[in-house]
Amino acid sequence: MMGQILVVITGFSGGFLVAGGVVSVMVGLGIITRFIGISHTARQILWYEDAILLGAVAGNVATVFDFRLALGAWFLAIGGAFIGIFVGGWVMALAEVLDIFPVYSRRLGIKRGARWFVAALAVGKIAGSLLYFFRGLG
Amino acid sequence: MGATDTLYLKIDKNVKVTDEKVSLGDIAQIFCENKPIENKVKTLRLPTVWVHGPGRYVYSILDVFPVILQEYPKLEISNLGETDFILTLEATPSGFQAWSRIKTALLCFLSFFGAAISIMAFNTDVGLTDLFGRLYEMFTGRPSNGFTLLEISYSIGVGLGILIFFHHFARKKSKPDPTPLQVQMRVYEEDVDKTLIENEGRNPQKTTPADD
Repeated sequence: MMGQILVVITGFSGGFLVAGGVVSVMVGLGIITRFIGISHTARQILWYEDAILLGAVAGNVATVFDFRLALGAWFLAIGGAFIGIFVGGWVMALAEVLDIFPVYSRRLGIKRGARWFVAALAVGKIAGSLLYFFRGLG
Repeated sequence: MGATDTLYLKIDKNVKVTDEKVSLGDIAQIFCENKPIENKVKTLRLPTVWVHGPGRYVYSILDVFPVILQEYPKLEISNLGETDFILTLEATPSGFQAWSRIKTALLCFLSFFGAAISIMAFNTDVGLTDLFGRLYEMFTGRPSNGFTLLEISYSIGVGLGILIFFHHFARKKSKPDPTPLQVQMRVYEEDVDKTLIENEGRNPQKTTPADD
């Protein structure tokens, strides 16, 4: 009995803190806020919070428990596209936090052509991702 | 009328309007002891020659002063607000509503899957299922079947943690604190405004195209 109580306390506290950490990284990196800014939908911000909550709970249940959910390949295709957009934003947000762009543009004296630089990055990421999955580099 | 009346002017950093004809009363808080002057100044037009269609336009307080001084050359103006501000001309809401809903729905999906992949990546990265199995055995002495109190309480903890992080229960109050996402949103908008104003100093072109 004592063991069961300990297990519940550990699990609950762990989940509570992990949730705070993961969500605050997600919000703090500013991916969602940037998309909200671009789409001019800041009034609907509470909906986005609900979606984050549901997504985190669903993702957590899917990884912690071992079960089957027959949603099919189409669900995966659509979900994969959204996950890709999000992770792409995440990766660039990380690069930005570390000040990669300002540092290189000053060091190399690049003043124009930022859009080509960004396009090259995107193409590179796509190529890297495809190689990783289809040529078994992972 | 006194020898010198003082007009107090306060403009926010980002002013939203829906019409290209902008009067000073629309964008600024104006106060003057002399009420006729106050009322007249409120109706004066902001120069909008370089405003073409919806978008963000950077203004300086020095674009506003001449308009007032032309009408009242002796007036003393005291600016209590920003020295540079952004006039956001919003598109008229007709036909715009449906597109806005679609964007909101898409972004909800993005938030959903983004949050899901974040927590899944974390759980997988730290090898949570293995760890839970070992913890369960350590605490209870029995092997875990992968579907124990530990997994259930962890999942409840995750849900509750986010609810409280986003201050979810406060929405029913009349004036809730802003949520972390709202705070972050404000930070982002202020960064955008600051960048727009500072870029204005770099290039002489007056307009900034809308970003949608």
